[in-house]
Amino acid sequence: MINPNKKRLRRSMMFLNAQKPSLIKDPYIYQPDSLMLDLEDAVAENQKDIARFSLFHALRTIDYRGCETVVRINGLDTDLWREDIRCAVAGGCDSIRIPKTESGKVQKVGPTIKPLMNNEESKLVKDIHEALIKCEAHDGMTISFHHHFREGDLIVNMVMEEIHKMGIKNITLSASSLGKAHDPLVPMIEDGTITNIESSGVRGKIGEAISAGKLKGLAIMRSHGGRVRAIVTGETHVDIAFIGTPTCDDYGNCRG
Amino acid sequence: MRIKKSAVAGTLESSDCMVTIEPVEKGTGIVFDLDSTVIRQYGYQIRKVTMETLENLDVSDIKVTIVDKGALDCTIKARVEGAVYRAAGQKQNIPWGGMM
Repeated sequence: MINPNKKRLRRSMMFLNAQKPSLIKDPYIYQPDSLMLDLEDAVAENQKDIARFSLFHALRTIDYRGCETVVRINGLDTDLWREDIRCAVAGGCDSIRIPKTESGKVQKVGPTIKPLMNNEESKLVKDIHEALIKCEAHDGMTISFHHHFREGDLIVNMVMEEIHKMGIKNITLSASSLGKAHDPLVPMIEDGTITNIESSGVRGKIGEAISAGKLKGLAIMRSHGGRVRAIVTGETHVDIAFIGTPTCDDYGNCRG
Repeated sequence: MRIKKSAVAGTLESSDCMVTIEPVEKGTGIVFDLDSTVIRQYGYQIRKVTMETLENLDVSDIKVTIVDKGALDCTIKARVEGAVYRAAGQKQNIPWGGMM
């Protein structure tokens, strides 16, 4: 089920102790954007079980007059959260909030990128081949393209052709999208230069080649946001990124 | 459901009620005792809600003592159920939406 109100405005959130009937019976009179019914810190440790009954019946019975009802469950490091979710879902809340989500599993592992200015030196090289050698391109790397020029693109083809010529194999191609313009990559999929593809979608001959089972590894399709997240969480590790940009200084700052 | 021990749920704050459940001898049925600030207005209603809730939970042979400070029906239900599940010693896998 998709919640049509998923991206609604949440300017004000009213936190209420789910255990206190005097609080949860009429908070809608203040018309906050969201009502946060708390099972976590607001509720005393020895009242957690009782608070769920109070929450369940409040959600079932009380008309919150359009206020979004969010339930904050106990942390995933406790043994309480499973029952909290069962209760909140059965009660019919609009949303569930997980507290303390800064655990290792969702921690940011991608590097924070900062500009580095240097007007004295130049990083310009004469061709893609030299750039690949300087980046120490080798087998099994993840090569990323973001963002190239969609159906008018030549960057992906030029770079991959050079990689092909150098005899590098087992490349994971991580491109923001692959279209008909990238049809020349099909022979590289067939001969094992490209063994994995991560993209937002594939069309044309590449799509046909994947459907025919010619790709040896995995083809992972993500949304554009999902792609960013995969990099941030470390699910995808990019070794070399090739960027098509309208302007760039000699030191590689694409500030177009 | 089988009541193993006595249990309390709720507080004496305004809009809340405190429900005490104690096991009694088999065959006694449900002994109901109510003290409420609004007993003249809602005494029968509170009794009705409590009895319905206990019937849904399939409980008999208990003594229920309620000290009410103006709780709504849903609060009374929640407190009675909370006290019963505590008295039965069940904290997990509660049949939300099933018996309630």
